[in-house]
Amino acid sequence: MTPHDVKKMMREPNQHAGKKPYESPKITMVSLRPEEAVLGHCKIAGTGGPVTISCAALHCRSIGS
Amino acid sequence: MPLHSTNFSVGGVAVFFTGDRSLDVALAPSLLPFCGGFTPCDVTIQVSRVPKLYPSIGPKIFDSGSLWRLHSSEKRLEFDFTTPALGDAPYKRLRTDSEFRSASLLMSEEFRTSTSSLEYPVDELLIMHRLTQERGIELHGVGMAGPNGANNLFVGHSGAGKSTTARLWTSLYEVKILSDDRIIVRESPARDLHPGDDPRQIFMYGTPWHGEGCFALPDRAPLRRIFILEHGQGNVITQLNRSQAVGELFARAFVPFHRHEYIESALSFLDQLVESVPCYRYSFEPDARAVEKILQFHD
Repeated sequence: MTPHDVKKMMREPNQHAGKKPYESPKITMVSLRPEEAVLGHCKIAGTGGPVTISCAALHCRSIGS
Repeated sequence: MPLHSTNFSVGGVAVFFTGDRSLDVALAPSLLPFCGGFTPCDVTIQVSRVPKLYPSIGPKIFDSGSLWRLHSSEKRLEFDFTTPALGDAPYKRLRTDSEFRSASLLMSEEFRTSTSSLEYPVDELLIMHRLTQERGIELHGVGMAGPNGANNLFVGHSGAGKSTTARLWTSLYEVKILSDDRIIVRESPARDLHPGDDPRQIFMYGTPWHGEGCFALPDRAPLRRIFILEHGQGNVITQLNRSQAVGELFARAFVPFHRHEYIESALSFLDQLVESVPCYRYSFEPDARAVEKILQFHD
């Protein structure tokens, strides 16, 4: 884009109305819950969730999701 | 030649598994509603028994911290399942190719306490990994069909109010809860498409891995809206832009973190998802007004 094009855009803004305005990149923090995301634990025994009889009785020693 | 076989489908992923004994292919109770014949199948598993399993000697790729570890072995992946109650020796090992199409499941005869070959977390891990090849993802959420075609997905970490939301809606309206804890979101598998169907239509699927409300349906519904749940004061809906929505959904997704291709596949699908389905943050108080707020809401 040349300076001439920029001046033209400023003179004729309606021709470019359909274009989204530029937004600069932003960094946003989101909180991860690794203990939930990796299926490392069974859910609370006896309260539903992915717990089968053997998992609740044998494999689960910790509480997770 | 294995004598017994069973199949089931979760989230549009059809699994066929075989074994020499009927017990080898017995489905865990949670999987029984998802049992059925679907062809062609996406994943084939052969179950067999060995006298004892020793810890894998292949390089360790990932450690879940408790129930499973992943090693590489030649060109295959090996998931070892252990529990502190039984020591370091795996009671089960899943060997699979990197596309999760073909797998073998070795069950240790040393520990006969394990009842079903594909019980949690084997089943969920397998489906979650296979979804990286299918334009789909598993999300921590409650999905509901209805009322009146308002098919909403409420996504949230543990404690965000998923089971509460499921109970609230079912106490007030005729809705179908696909799951109150784990929902699979994806395009329809090609085998389920009919002439004229849009192959990029996004569906949410129920799963066997339910929450405290025990909602788990082998069904699906077209997805209309996504809400990121959080407890708050009053009921406030805020639209998320595309990057916010992808970030918030990724934080509540079940994604294999051990390979960048799988993460890229998940992010690419989430980007497609939020382009076609509006995504909002929903700060809510757990009473009937929270339900009415959603019913009266327009995009």
